[in-house]
Amino acid sequence: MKIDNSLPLEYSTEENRLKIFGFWIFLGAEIALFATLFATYFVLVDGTGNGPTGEHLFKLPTLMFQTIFLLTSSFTIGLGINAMRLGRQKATIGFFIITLILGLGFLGVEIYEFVEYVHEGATIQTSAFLSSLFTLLGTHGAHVTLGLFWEPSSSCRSKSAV
Amino acid sequence: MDYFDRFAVPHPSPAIYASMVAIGLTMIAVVAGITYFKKWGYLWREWLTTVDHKRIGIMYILAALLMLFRGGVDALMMRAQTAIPDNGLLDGQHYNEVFTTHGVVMILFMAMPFIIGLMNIVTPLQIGARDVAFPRLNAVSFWLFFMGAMLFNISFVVGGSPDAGWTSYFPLASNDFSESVGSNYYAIAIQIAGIGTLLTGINFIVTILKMRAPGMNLMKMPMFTWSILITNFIIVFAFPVLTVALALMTMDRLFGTQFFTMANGGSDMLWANLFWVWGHPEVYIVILPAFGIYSEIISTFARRNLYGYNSMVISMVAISTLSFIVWAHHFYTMGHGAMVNGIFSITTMAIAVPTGVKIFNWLFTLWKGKIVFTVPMLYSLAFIPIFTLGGVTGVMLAMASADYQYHNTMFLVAHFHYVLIPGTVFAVLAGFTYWWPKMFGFMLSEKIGKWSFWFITIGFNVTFFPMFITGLDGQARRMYTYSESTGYGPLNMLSFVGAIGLAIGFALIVYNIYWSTRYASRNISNDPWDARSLEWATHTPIPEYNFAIVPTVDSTEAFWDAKKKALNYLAVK
Ligand code: HEM
Ligand SMILES: [Cu+2]
Repeated sequence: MKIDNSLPLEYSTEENRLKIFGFWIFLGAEIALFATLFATYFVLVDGTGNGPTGEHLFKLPTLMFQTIFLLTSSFTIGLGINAMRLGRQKATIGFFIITLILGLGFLGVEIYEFVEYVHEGATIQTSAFLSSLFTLLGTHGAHVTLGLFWEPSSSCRSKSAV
Repeated sequence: MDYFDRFAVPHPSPAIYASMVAIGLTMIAVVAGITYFKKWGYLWREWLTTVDHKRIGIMYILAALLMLFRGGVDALMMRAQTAIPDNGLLDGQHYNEVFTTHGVVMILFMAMPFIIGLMNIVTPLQIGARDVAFPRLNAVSFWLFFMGAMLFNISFVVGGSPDAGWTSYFPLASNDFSESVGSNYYAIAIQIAGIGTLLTGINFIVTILKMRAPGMNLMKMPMFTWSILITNFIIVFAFPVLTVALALMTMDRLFGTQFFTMANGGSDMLWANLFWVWGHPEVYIVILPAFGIYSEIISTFARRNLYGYNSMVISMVAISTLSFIVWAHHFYTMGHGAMVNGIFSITTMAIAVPTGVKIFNWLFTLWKGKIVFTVPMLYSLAFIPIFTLGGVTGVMLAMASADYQYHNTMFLVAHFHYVLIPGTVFAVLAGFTYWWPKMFGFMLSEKIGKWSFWFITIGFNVTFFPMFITGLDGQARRMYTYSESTGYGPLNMLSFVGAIGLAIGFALIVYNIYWSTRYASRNISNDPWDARSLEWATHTPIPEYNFAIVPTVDSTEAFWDAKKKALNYLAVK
């Protein structure tokens, strides 16, 4: 394997460069996917039928927590990558763990929120508005969940490869 | 037992029981045959677990040919049923299932994999690469497609096939109106195959953008590779829409959500929109690679450089962009106002402009060329006028106000077959014949090939031209029968005769494969057609690594120009 040390660590082999580029294209597809889900949501947002509307359901505090957790986790994973490029293993692992905890926090609040909704009689079957809301949020939550498993597994793999 | 009752054939008939027996016997025969010839190990090592782009391509094409015959039998059944008025060969329910599976199988499990197969085999060779960017992902794509296709195909013996049309409109496809598990097969099988396609899209974009031979900048890529690149961009942006649409459909049918329902705030029109936001780009996903194949073949057998390289590329980019902003032309009649219809009418007609540019470029390539009438060239030459008819009728359909008359008549059916068959089907048959010697080391018989060409071309026109007329006379599509007083009888009989001609043509292709495998000369050169791009520069059979030395490229017709300068790409001593 040819290793080019002039590039950032994760770009240093041909294989990795291809994978990262492929991942960018995949992100393009993900944008199309979420754009479709958002479009669906905006089409159906008034389709509340006999169920509750958004004004009844949405509460600021849970929303705030989720946003803070999520944005901070994007920042800490960036710090983690930076530490990795500097070759500082302990700092890398530390930032990754913080990121995972923030991700878990986000998921916890989201699950709590879903349970609350269901208790108020707002289920995914109640109305088109709620079907689209749960699907949009749930798809995002599924992405976060996947990340929670993927991050540690790829870290362990690269550790055993060292 | 209630649960399992859902998987009983809801609508049994001798034909279905006969197919069950036939499927069972075929499977036993295949397993016994492989065991008898001790081929399990070979099959497992060389094919089932392969990650070689050429073998994956061949498996795609094999599966596509199988599906062509499955879809073809559906087609023959439909034409037989409508050949005479008040026919009782199929009842309404069967007819619904047959036209639904015909559409899905032909578009998603025949046209798409045939194209993806050719693209697998040819693209890495044309750009001088040793494989695709992610070979293992490529195998995953194939197996996802294959499993999706098989799942879809067992529906008709286990539980009943989907019956709401390949467009599967709501509310018809909801639990209320389609109770059997059929439409669940639609939602889940296409989902599985679709994810495979999306992964292919990513894989080939990376391959083409990052793995080209030195010197081959974007504007030196062969036209087929260009068409594949653009197609894969359409795949990456259109398929996620299908993924979402099918997921919502699955949830509506299985988990009681309300996306497309009539009560509780749902919107049935949302389905139509999502489906066609994917669906219209989809028709360009199957036509752009065909344009690429014709560009290669026409310049090879006119012995001239492709006319208007830049305008070919620009027109494909234009088509791919426009293809995302025309979807509502599929439901002008469903009540969006004059303004929306007007806008979509104009964007739709605009597509004819870049398409026309391409037609003229092919004509100018032929102009003053020394044309060689091989089988691939015959398909390409027949494509130009027949496809133009399809395009012109498309523009007729694009006029929203006139479409109120044409919509959902046989006229529409004639239109899309006039674009899809001479467009996609002729192209894959031409490409298959053209690249066959590179894949297998011998040529298909030109003589048998020409017989099948004439059967297919004449059979096609005899089958589908009458539909323009009956459609204008008001014959609705998807109706399983009609009364004698409508007067549609004779032309429908003519269609049936044409369909038999088409069937003979396809049977001849199979016979050609058999005959040529047995008798064709194995003594052919690496470049039997005297062709122009890099896939012909390597050995036949192609070594697993494709090129011993990665070639350097300095023109759009790299191999042709090298031949003229008497350079030898194979000069490895
Ligand atoms: C000049 C270019 C084209 C124009 C202006 C055009 C226009 C249209 C319009 C307006 C319709 C809807 C008619 C109706 O439902 O009443 C339609 C249907 C259709 N077109 Fe085209 N088209 C063009 C090219 C193509 C191509 C290249 C393909 C595929 C290779 C294609 C495949 C189809 C299919 C499959 C349908 C019908 C789908 C269905 O309802 O089942 N068209 N076209
Ligand atoms: Cu369309």
